[in-house]
Amino acid sequence: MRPGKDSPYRLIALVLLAAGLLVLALGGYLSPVFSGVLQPVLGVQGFLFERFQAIQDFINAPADIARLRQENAELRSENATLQTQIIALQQQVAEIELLSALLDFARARPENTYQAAAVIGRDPSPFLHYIIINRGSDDGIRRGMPVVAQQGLVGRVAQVTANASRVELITDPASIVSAQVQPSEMDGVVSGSITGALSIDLIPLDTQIQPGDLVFTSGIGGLYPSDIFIGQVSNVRQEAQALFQFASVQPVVDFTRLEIVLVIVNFQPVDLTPLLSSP
Amino acid sequence: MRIVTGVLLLLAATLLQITLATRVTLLQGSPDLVLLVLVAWLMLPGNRPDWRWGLVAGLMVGYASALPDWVLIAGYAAGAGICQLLSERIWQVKLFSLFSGALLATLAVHAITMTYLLASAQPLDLVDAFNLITIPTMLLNLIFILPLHGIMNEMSKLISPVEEAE
Repeated sequence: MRPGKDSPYRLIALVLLAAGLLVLALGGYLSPVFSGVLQPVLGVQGFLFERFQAIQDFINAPADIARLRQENAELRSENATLQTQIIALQQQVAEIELLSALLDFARARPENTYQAAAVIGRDPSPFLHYIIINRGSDDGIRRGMPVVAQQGLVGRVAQVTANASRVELITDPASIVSAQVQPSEMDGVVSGSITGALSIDLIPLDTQIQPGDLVFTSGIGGLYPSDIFIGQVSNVRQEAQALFQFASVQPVVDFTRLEIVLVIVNFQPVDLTPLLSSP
Repeated sequence: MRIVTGVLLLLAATLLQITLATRVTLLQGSPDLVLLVLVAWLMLPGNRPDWRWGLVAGLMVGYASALPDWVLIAGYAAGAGICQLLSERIWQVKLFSLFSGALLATLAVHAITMTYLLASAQPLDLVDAFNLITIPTMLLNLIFILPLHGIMNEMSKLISPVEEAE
């Protein structure tokens, strides 16, 4: 009797064969066979996949490029917005630092009343050292009021309109400030020049001053309050025939970078003109 | 139309001078934008140079400056007069008259300013003033006059092409 198609022997043989193959596979005996068979199949599969992917990319590319371009434009726009915000925030931080320093200066001198003002321009003539501020008589500014920055003395109000004022800087050639040198406590006169350099003059020859000494307003003459920092002595010059010593002063305020200043509005400058012009 | 344009240009130049040009410095000098606009305006092809434009420019700068109005009016009028003279005498060589105009007009404005400062007994070292202010200003003005003239030439063509064609 030959076993038929439905013969149980055939089934048993197949099961045994499958079990045998499974055991061999689990035991790792079939790995060389599998790798030998799978390698070319995987190669073909990889080749086909790459070609298919290339075709798919070719078909989808225009849509992707358009999407990427749109994303790129959006990101660039967002980047520009963020950059603008960063710059605005940096400016705000700088302004807050400046205002904070000015506030510290004002707190250190509670006897004075201040009016903050922004510098909106400079004198068009290079021979003069004036600035224009955005506060005028409507804000209580009057001619002669002293102007300071967080570091020290800036100048005084020379001319006032309703909404703006012109401030004569202490570096102007026509500016004269009564000053005192510390620690010698000797009085002198600080004057400006066309180059913007400051110098102190009228210091007696027997007074010992040296580079590094500090120069403050003395208050003599009544044009400025006393004890406002002007600068530091940088160079002392004694000439043989001269009656007084002369010294260069490095101003404490950077006049090229003035942005916000304080006007001392409760200081009344003394007008000595009637006394000076008497016969 | 030309008068209105000229006045507006000088006004804009004055504002730029106060806010911007004074910050562009070489030693102690800075470009005189109002003077440059004045010179470039007077030297424009098709414009008849008129020294009275100097009065307008001087009045505008005088309003913004601590110097007396008459000093600047006299300075700018002298500058404009020099440009008028150059334009009439050496009109064949436009570029030369443009540079000479900028140079001599700057000298005129500075000479009148320095004379006033000396006359009003203000401390002024003439050598320092010339070396540190006048020469650098002249140099900056020479640098800026050519592009400014080009810009104003193009503007002039845009504003009044018909007059230009005539």
